[in-house]
Amino acid sequence: MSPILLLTGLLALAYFGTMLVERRSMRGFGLPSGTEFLLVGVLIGPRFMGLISTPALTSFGGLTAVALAWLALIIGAHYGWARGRRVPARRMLLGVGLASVAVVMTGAAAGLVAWLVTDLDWRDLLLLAMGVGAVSAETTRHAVRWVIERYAAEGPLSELIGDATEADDAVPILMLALIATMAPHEGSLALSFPGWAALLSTVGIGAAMGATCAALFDIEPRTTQRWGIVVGTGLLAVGASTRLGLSGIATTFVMGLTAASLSRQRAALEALLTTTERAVMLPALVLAGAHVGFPDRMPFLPIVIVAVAGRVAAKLLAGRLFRRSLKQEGVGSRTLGLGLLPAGVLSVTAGFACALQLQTIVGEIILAVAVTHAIVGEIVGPVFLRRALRSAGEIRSAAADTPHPVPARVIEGARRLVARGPRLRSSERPPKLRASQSSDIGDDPR
Amino acid sequence: MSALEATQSKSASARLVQAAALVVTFGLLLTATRLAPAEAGVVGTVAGLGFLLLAGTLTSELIEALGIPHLTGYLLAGVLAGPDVLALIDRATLAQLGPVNTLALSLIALAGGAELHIELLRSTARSLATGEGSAFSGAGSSMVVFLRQRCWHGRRAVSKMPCSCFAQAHKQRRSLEGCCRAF
Repeated sequence: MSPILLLTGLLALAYFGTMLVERRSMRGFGLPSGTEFLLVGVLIGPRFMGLISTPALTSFGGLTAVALAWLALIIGAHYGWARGRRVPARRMLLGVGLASVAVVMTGAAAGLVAWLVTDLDWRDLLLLAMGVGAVSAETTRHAVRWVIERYAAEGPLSELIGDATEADDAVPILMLALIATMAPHEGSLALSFPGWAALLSTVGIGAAMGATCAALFDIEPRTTQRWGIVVGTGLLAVGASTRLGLSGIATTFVMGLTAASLSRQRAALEALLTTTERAVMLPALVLAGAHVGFPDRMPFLPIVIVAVAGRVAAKLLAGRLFRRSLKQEGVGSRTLGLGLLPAGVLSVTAGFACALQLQTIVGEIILAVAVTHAIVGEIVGPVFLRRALRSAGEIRSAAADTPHPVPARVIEGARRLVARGPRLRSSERPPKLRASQSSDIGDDPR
Repeated sequence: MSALEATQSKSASARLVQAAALVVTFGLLLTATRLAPAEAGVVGTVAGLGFLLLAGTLTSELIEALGIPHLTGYLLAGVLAGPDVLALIDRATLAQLGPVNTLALSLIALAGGAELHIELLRSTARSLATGEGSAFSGAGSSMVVFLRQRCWHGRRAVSKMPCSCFAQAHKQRRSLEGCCRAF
């Protein structure tokens, strides 16, 4: 497939995919984490059906890097906010802490196994551990929102899980910044920055561009000009930071965070960015899927298995902590922990960014681990999350017991149809009543 | 809010913010290019595109306060950032921005064509002939100059002229509409 044809296909996917997903109001149908698009990419990629060739994929490297950085900008813009309110500081700390625990557990386990079964040097082992940790940290908010909105769940547990999954996004981004410091992008000039200076530069560029974006956004009332401001500052931040050997994704995350914090019109900025989320996310997932290869040059299967096991252990621990903090007796900590397994866009994005950044077998393994997490999380996570919420009494039992639950909106529509009664032909309809007649059969005010 | 109203409503502090943002924009790319002077490939193109978008918008907004058209602002930002002055955008990046240039040209031509109303053209043919005549004659004479230079500098300069003409015509029409509304 030629690059032009691929680009056309991706644009069509962005358009129709967004339209479909938006119409189903927070994914009433389909898979919670959007893994179907990832699987489409895997199927049509060069390793399986071969509809997309490797050179075509390679030619999209720059565009993909910009797309991933844009997703990080969107994540940064709404970081720390859930359901229109700011996430409390304690819950932010809880989310970040649990994600950090997941990074350490999975990274250490994967690094240890890689040390035992491969001949990677210390630097590659460290990069592998950090990358696997980065892709294992988050619980995707998309899947959690999918379950909560689909079953109309409401209560302290839903709120806690929603808040914690919003907060844990910062950890993978920080890991990506560290990885970029250790292994700068191929096209950049490797500066002799110490690690802390590189991190400070990343934060500095992101903060400067975020403040610039917020200041210009606030004084500009025209939407067309606002688009120019956001796109211009975003591209400049990505390009300049990558040129200096820093992480473009981390820079745009900080930029989004700063812009949303400083702007007096945060809601407008977030709304503007959110309109682009699906249109960028869906092609990025397909491209990530197409990049996936299962390396046969080294025993990578044990690493993937250990990474998945480490993540399950970390989430079980998180489930126990959640249960203890809420003191809910009815909820099993194992059920809750397994319900936190869904991994989605951010995990896949982090894995994809590592694969593009490192361009070695290490990057391939990290991406394969990310995709495995997404698939395992998709199969296991929503089922157990629903069970946990039902145990907590936050889902109406009728909706939860339905084997294939129908979204609340569809049920409401069906009820309305039934209440309206059968549609009659015009000849069968009773004649229209005059005002005087209709008042006779209406509710008598007396 | 129309473009004219939005521009007129901007206060001195807003202009100051725009000027500061322009300094930050130039400063960031200047630092990046001086610290990493090698040709940066795709990364350089991304940075260049973002810079041109932002710096062009800001420069045009700032010089509009002086009564100078937007187009001059875009050109000024381009000249300052180009390879012959500050070298923030190198020649390789300029070459890689070619498809963007072509796309922009196509969109401007498309928008220009879509905005033409035959009835309006008929009714205002005389005023158009006098009002726009000077602009087109200026553009025409520039084109002649560029055509003469073509044998030394290649075709690029000439190919960009229709873009300037369309942009100028579009801008003047917007300004006229704004003035009419104001009256």
